Amino acid sequence: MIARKPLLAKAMLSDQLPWPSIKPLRDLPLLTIVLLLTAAPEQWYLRAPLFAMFALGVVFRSWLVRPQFWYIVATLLGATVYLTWETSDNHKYLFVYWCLALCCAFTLHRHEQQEALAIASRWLIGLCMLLATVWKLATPNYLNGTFFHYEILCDARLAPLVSWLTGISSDVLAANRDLRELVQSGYVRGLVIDTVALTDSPRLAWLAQAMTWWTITIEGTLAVLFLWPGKQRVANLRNAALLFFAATTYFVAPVRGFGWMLMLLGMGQCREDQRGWRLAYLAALVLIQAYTLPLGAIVDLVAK
Amino acid sequence: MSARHPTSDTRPEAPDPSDTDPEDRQFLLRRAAIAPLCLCLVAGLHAFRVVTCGQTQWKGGGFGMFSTVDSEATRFVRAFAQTPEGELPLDIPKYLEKTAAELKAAPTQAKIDALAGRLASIHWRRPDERLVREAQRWSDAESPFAPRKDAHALSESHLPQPTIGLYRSLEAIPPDQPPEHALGVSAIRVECWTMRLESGARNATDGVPYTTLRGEKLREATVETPVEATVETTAEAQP
Repeated sequence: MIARKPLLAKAMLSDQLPWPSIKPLRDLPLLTIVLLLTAAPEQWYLRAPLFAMFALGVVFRSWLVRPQFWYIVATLLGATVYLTWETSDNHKYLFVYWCLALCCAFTLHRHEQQEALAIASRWLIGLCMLLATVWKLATPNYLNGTFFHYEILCDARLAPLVSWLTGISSDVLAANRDLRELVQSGYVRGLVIDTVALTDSPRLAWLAQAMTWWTITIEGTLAVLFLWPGKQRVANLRNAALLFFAATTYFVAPVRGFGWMLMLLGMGQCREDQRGWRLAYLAALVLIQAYTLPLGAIVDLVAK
Repeated sequence: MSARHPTSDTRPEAPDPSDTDPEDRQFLLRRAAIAPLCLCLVAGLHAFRVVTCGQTQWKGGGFGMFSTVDSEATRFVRAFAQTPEGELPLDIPKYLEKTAAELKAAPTQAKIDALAGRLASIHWRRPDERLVREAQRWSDAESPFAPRKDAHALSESHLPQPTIGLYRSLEAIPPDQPPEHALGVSAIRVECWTMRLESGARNATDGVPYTTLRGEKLREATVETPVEATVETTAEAQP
């Protein structure tokens, strides 16, 4: 008789292969390193020590659960944000707070670490969404739809979706961006232009209004859910809402750094028994990465 | 940060989390609150600067991204030199890009004055004239850079091809180069602008809707140049 290896499904059923699971205190530090490597600062004097730290952390895995390690990383990232505040996006600040949260959690007893990380993660998501909502509500040119109208007309990231939804050709949208560039830097070529007319469509105003109120609704909902003190009932709603936000928002505007950070925070705030949600956050992380692919070009290539 | 307890891998597991005493619980909550508290402090500072310095909501850690057209990307800086030939645009050099970016992110009068002052301390020249001089240097038979006669066809294709009059803006003479052929500049004017979107208009002939993107000046500063920068110097004029 010939001995054969059991099939994968059979092996899993018979418990020979464990179902994949994520242990926050073991896996989150490693995922954080992957995230920070993909969004490393440009300054060599910050990049070099950070990469050295990460290399050491990957080799000496026990360092990743030391508060000292995360304190140094948070300090380096904080220095990056301080020195380049004029160009640093808000998720760079969130990287610093997250590393600080890891540092603080690892100073506690092992049985307290996950809870401390969960509390900090939940508050960070809640505060981030609260501030995002408050700024939007406090800005008149956001509430009247002007902001998304501008983004639709001039943001290259939204161009494929806008073109698909409204029928405006991508060439027209590119021409709008060229006109904006003319106002901004045409003066160096002797063209001092203060006003340009962008090509528009009545459909865009509706799309802008829909995006305006959708964003306020989803971000406001997330702020309430994550800052609400309840544990049991709200937990599933929180996870579902955050994953829905990630799947929809980052499809339209694939900002990978922010998306990944939110997914790590989402994983971090999961309770011990919420293994399925943690896997869902990992899947969302992969999905956000997939959104950064040139999907339009790939579809065109396959169609040919 | 000091650890209150020994680190995780050197001490035994606690028996049961529910047995945690109130003091330990308070300690845990205080540690968990440090990062969110930092977020609140930075966001408060950002809000203060938005109100007092005109800082863009997009930058500074206040999480005001995607809330306004008035971002650092829609703001822009224009700089002009007043010369005997009239007002000429300046191409802001790379080493001042950070200063210009800081101005765009938070356009205070102090920042625009500082940028104008730094631009006023620079010697400026015409890039098209520089290219012509480089081309002449290449084609000069006495020059060590001149092509050999047997390589005529190849060398012609490698000559720079300046287009006179294409470059309207002046370029900065790098600080490590002598200020040869510098233009006489009497003053520098810097402007910081943002953009406004105005929609609802329709083209009168075909009724196609269009939206206007309009520049709006936020700040302006004019600085007179130091005396030594106003005199035109050339290589020929120097002893």
